[in-house]
Amino acid sequence: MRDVDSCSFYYSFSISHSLTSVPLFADELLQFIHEPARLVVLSHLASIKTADFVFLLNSTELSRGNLSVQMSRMEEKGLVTVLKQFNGNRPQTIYEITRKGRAVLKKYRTEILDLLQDLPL
Amino acid sequence: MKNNPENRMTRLYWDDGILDLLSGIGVVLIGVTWVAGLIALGPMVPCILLPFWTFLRRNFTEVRLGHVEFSNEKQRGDRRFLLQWCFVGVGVLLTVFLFAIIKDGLPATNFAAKFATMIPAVLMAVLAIATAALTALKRFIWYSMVFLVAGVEASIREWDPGWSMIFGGIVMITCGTWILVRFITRFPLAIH
Repeated sequence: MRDVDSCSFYYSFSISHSLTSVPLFADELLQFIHEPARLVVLSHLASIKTADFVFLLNSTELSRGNLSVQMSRMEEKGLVTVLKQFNGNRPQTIYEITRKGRAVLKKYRTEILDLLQDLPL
Repeated sequence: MKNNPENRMTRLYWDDGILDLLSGIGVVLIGVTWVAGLIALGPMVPCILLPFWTFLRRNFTEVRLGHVEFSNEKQRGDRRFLLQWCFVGVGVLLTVFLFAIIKDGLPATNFAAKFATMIPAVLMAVLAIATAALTALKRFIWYSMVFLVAGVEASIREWDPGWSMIFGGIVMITCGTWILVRFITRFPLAIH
């Protein structure tokens, strides 16, 4: 009996898990930036020209590790460019959103507005 | 003021207390030159403080907060705004001369003379509101209120207009110091 219970729990968990992982967007890049940390960083970068790692860390309030990982992933996808340089004796990592990054963010805004604006709230 | 990422970052960028502190020191010094009858020295104050401003922003704020370069549109808007601010500065100088003429030419009880006592404080209030718009820092609106109240008080009590600037400047220095301490606590030196 206990086994059946644990099985049913397992299946219900699997079903709910698979339901929550249904992608909201068909476009892979839109789904990629739908993640909150990436969306926050990208929207910050879209509002400015460039920012270094420390400024992004302070303005987004993400953890150092999380921001570092997200920036690497976004660089891999071609959404941001990275420039490593020295400012005096201090190493500095400068980030800038790419044209592709802006285009994806613009498309994301259109799609999310389409999704939400006609809701009878 | 909208709470969009650009405004939030602008607020963060200016929220180190140095602007309040240096502006407060500048206003107090201008007030002191006014009270001491050395009005001509007033315009020199910003020139003396500007190098401190650049040095502190680069060596104190940026090492803690990090570096940001705002969009070209924002930079153009800020430049246009600063140009307008320069015009206001010229307006301040012209008003000072106008004030000197009115004060010498009219009796002290005259309404125009009383209002003229308020003009420097009113101009400081206008500058504070303009700074609030540029930096997205709402406390500069409160500073403008302080200058207005100090100006009215100086006018009623027939004090030298310099006192309203000294009073407003001291309020800015006090707030600036407190914000600076908060900034240092919130953003310790960045470790790379």
